[in-house]
Amino acid sequence: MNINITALSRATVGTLTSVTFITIIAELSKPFKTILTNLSGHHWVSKGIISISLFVLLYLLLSKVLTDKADVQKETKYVIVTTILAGLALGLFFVWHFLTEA
Amino acid sequence: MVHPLIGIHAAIGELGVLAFLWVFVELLNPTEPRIKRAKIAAALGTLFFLASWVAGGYYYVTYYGPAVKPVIKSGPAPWAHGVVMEVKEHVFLFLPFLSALTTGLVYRYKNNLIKDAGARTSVLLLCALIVIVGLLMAGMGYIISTGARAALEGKIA
Repeated sequence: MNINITALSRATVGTLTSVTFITIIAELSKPFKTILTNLSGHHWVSKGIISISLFVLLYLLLSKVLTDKADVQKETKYVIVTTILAGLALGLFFVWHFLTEA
Repeated sequence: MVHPLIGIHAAIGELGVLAFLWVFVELLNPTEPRIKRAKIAAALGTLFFLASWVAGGYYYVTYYGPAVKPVIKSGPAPWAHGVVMEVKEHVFLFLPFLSALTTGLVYRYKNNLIKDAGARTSVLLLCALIVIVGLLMAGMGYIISTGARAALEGKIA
């Protein structure tokens, strides 16, 4: 079985983006954080379960929809830019959250 | 007493970083035997990050949350938890997926990595990204431990 690189890179981008949004929304919305906590007993564990499930699901779905004629450098650029932006977003958010919470 | 799981989590995570550094070095000037080794290193690196996730996650949920977090928050560097740990525990979640993608690329392109400069550059860039993020995790872990130590020293004094 050939690995569909387009689907794999898009699944990675989707998962990283979702983890970032879920994390920020959970910090801003107590009811959403409670839902995450109730899912597994701990909100961080739930984020892990959701991210693995989403990654697998996105890959399986996208590999059926997207043809694997990837421009691998373009796909890699998307992944790297997403990682940097998501990391910065989380960093800036938690600095802001800490300063405004105190 | 320092919980042994934190050492295991850090050590396995660093092995993951070293594995992707190994992939990077093998693919700087790839040959068939080097690509064979890079495939093993990438698969090992992904397994190390998954194991580090489990070890760190178990420690975080069962020990850090109830015992360490309140100590850091009551100490002189509450930001060590409020900012650094919060960022670390979430950015860490990126690593297993970046590793899976990189491993997927190495297994997909195999010996084509010798001629396909685009695919090779992509794998090299992703390896570099994984190494940088992995080292950031280690640095953040040091800051969090320092926050806990500073809080405990304050209690003794």
